[in-house]
Amino acid sequence: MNKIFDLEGKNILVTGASSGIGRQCAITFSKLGANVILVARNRQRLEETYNLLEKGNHLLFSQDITEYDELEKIVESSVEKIGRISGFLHSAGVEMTLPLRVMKPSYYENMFAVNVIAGFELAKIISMKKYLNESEASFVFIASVMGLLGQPGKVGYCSSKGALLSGTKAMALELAAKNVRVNCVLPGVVETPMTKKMLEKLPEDAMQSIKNMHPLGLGKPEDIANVATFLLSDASRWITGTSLIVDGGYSAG
Amino acid sequence: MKKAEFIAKIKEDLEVEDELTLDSRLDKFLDSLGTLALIALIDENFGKSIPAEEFQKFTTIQSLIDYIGEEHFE
Repeated sequence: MNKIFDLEGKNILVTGASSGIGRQCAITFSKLGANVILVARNRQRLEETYNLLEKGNHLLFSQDITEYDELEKIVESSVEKIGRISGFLHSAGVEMTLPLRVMKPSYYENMFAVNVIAGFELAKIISMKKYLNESEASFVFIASVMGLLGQPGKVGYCSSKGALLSGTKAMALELAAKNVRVNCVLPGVVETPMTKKMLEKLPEDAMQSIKNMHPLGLGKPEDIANVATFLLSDASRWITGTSLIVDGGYSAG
Repeated sequence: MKKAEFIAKIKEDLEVEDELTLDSRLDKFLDSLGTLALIALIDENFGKSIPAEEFQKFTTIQSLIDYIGEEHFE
């Protein structure tokens, strides 16, 4: 029974693995027996993540995932070295808080490139027969409660995360025939370098107000990693095309 | 750019209704989103990045110009 919650022998590709939620997910997956393929831009931080993993057949690739032409090489190389892929976690993401009045198309394009398009491109590649685990696979996109709720200054960020919610449903239906499940996790505010930067931009009272809106307090990366683990494990065998809110009660109010 | 242009750009981008001068106090017309917009404006036009948490030290538009550097203005 307890085996269905672990990730023994699964090969899982993680984007955004150099910090925050992505890093913690990679660590948690390795502790549960997965072989983790770490992908992020910053090589030094990637190596730090690598050194925190439990023993396994782990790989790391320092790569800007918006260089779409390079993505298949990573997947191909990974499959050659450790075998086909049975899990994918897209945790790479960028955040921007700016009033609509000064938004530019290039800002939207950049956020969508990292938060959405790179994730969908990797999902496309990994779901190819030659790379995909034959029996089953699970893809998880780290979205945000900001994909459901709005907030001033976040037109770009909210819409990019909202895109993951709907894209997940379409992808889940399309890939069901290949036994690939596709789901989203929607974190509230989790204590990561990205949110630390975001919160520091706000005045003290606004920052405190955001903290107060989480009945269970701000989240930790482990809170998201544990849920991502469940969705990548056999325990969630019958879950696909859905979004799991993990936000300490933020969106219940 | 000229200082007058910089002031006009702040007034337009941030949609400030009052007239602005070099001595205008930032806390009289900036809210949290306005602050971020102003930081983006300065970064884009002068290549100077100001962390939001340091922005409180600026008092007037002139104090911003002092930080950016007079040499950047005609």
